Amino acid sequence: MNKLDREVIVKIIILGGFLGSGKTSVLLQLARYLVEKEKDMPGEVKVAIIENEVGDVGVDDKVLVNEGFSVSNLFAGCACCSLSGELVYSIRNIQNELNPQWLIIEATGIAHPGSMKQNILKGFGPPSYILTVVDAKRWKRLARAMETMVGGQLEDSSKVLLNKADLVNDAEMEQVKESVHSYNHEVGIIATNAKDTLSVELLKKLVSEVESLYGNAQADK
Amino acid sequence: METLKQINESCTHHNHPEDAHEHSGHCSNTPDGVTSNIHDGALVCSGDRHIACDPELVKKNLEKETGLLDTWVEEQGGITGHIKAIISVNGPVYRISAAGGEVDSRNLQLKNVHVSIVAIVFKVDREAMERRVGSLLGGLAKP
Repeated sequence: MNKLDREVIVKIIILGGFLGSGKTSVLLQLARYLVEKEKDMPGEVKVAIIENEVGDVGVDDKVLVNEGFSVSNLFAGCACCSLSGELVYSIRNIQNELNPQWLIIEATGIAHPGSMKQNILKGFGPPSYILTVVDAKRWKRLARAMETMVGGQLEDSSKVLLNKADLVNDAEMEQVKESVHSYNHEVGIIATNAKDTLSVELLKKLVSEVESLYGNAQADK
Repeated sequence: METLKQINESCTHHNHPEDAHEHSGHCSNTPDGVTSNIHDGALVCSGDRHIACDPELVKKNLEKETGLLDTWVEEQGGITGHIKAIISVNGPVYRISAAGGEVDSRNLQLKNVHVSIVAIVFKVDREAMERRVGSLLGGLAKP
């Protein structure tokens, strides 16, 4: 059965971005916010997380489990290519076993989230929201050294969080924004600081965008 | 808060025909337990170690050594994707006893400390990286 045929649609957020950009910090804050937001909704599990690690040893999954989240691990490969089948299988499994309202997939730092989105669309159903975290401080160096990878990570992004904005000056910030837009000229960019927590207003805005996306998907059904 | 539930065990090395990334799925297992593999140009080097030690000493050494490893990668002309490590402590922490007098409470200095580390780097020699991570793990209990 296609997911759209079900009464409740699990809303999927793919958290992408290069290694060290701050994805896991964003994930923790977003997941905590969603749990709080959905606390009065039915169902035991409000938020499930798929943690994809390119290596066979995980670190972040231990932190997430320690916080009490439901975590499914995809290790030793990338969910955008070598583990794409396992990704769809995991999503179906989570849907059947936990039926959460939200599913956050933390991509590996070398994944192309756009490919994951396409695989999910083909194998599962509704569109996913891609939130890409970019390290403003390291962007220029990374774009020079591995343009295909970091540029490709921006394709299909729904929103970019330009993180570590506090570590660059205004002129550098503008250059990074311009560079990001050269890979995805329509994407909205929001600057965030490395040490600060994400504001409730920002989290609310992001979540509202995802809900709109799924609202539209359901209306198009 | 969510119900703690670990679903799905780790999926490992289920290969698919997708060719978006280049793979070198063959893991290298060095004698000191460090494992590495290469994925899309990224060298993923990981290892873990159980140590009977004071966790504070391990934390102090690991903070220092993580910074040194990061610097070493850059000195090699490489790029650090990220280096992440986690310290877990298992087993007894305090011992409390009484035998017809005052209650004796002791903080057990040596604890069963488990360290996991993963370094994902680019443009660094694989064997040199494995040796460097192995050496880092081996030195975590040094005073």
